[in-house]
Amino acid sequence: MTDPSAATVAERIAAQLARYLGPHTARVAVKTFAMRGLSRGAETLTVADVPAMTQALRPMLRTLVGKQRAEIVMQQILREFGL
Amino acid sequence: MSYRAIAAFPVVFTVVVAAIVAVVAPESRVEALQIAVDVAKVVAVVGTARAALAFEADEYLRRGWGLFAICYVLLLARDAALLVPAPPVVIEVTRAVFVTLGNVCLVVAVWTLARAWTVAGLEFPGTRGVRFAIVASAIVVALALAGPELFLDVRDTITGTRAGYASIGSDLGDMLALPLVAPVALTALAVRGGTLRWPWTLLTSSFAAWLAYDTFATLPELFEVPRALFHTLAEESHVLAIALASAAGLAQRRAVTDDTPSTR
Repeated sequence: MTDPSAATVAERIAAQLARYLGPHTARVAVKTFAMRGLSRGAETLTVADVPAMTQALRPMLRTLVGKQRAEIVMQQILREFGL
Repeated sequence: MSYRAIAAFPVVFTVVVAAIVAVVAPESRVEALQIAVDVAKVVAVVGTARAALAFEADEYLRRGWGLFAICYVLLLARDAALLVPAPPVVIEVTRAVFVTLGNVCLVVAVWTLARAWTVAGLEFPGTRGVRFAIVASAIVVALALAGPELFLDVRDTITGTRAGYASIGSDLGDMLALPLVAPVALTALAVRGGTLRWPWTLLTSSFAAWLAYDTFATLPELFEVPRALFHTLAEESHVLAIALASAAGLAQRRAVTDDTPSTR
């Protein structure tokens, strides 16, 4: 079994998105919006970056799953990190 | 209802229609198929409208699914025009107006849905060359299938052998909408493994059934094939295409509103 604490921040965000987008696109989305929103590679993300990442992901989520579901997903990501 | 049950519904519906058509008297088959198509359109209005209403008024996909629902309302109105006691020319013009408006809504709806991935700021999977090849293939297939039908309908309308204004509107809608199957299919491919795969895969399947409909409808005009059999196959593909669009709408609603963790 994989120790969840060993997963990177990017992987943990992607895991929350994967339910909707599938695992491949979830990973791509985290990479894309880390670069677009934070101007950084996904591998450099820390827990402190998570609130900014959820904001960067918001327009994409709103387009594909609507405002209400997007807010739920963003809350789930924040909860994943105890934020 | 699970995603699998939603996905099974169009197939079951079409099999039931095929079974009914197989047992009715041959002279009643055309009417039986028309009733099945109209029932499917009512179901499609419900499915696509439910998808639209899952989004808020200013949200992108509300427009796409809402236009889809309006398209089916207009196509139902086209069929209902036959029931109105009026001179044939009035009925034909009314039907042509409804079908043209319906196809405008269809093209804009499919265009809107096809662009959702890009609007979301994501890139389609595969290299640029592969994506170009998929889009080019879809355009060629759409032209190959809808082109001959358009040519025949224009020819028959000009020569007066068949009043085909409504069919021309429908053919033009097919020619413009069918190439958009490529970005919709790429979206379905991109979200494999997630809940969003269900609406996008069902929508792609709906377009595939439309292509089958065009194929079965056109072949008797070009080749010596059993006309009645191909008409039946065309209309059964028609029913399947519409029912799949309805199922896509229901799956979209579930993906947006359902809290259960299952992706199946």
